[in-house]
Amino acid sequence: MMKKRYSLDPENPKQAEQIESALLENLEPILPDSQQRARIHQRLLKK
Amino acid sequence: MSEILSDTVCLSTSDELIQLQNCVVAIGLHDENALQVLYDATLSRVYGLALRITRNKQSAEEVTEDVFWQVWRNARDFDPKRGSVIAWLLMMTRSRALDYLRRQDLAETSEEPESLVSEVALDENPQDLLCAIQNNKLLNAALLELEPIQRQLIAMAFFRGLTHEEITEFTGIALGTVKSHIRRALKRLQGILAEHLAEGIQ
Repeated sequence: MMKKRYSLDPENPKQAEQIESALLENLEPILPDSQQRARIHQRLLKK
Repeated sequence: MSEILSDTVCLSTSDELIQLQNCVVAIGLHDENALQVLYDATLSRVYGLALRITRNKQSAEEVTEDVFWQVWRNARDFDPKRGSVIAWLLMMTRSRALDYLRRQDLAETSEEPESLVSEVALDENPQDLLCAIQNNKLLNAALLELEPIQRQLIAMAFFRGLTHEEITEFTGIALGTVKSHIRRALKRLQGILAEHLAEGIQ
């Protein structure tokens, strides 16, 4: 997994990673509005 | 412990996890439809995290676009033994968004500050951990058991990517105190989550 930067506890990164993952996986989602979705989609298609 | 935590707090069903994993394998073979499926299934989670970190809609869009572009290019790097697709995707998002924030902070010192004003699309503080994690009652309750200062320091490190030294600089709290608050909070969270799981099993 790409990581180790921005650890909650750089001196105990493995231990901190468990909590980081738990927080990340449980954040409330936020859907971008339709215009934003169209822009993101469009730019990805161009690539 | 790692497995215990992810089993306890992960919201996705195993069917969804397998479907997403299959998508990433197909994306690695340059299947555009698979990228579309993954994008539709995870956009709100990637964008939501990017927005909470950057606090700016346009920046969150750019980070989101960058993350899916990286997925397209690096899908073969995904290793299911090291975590779920969602974890991989969101760790990538957090890392990209914090990099973006750092670049903006550097630009802010020399360019027009008015162009970098935060634009938050939420009613509440997007970096308030209790508001950000409402769906998972167990994790929310665990966060609620922390001291407010511990929650705030964890949020600063989590959403702003600040090192302990930077938190000290920013808040004026002694480095040793920052470290002990964060470590105690992490330990407490792990303990609470493990305890709740044990109760659930009995």
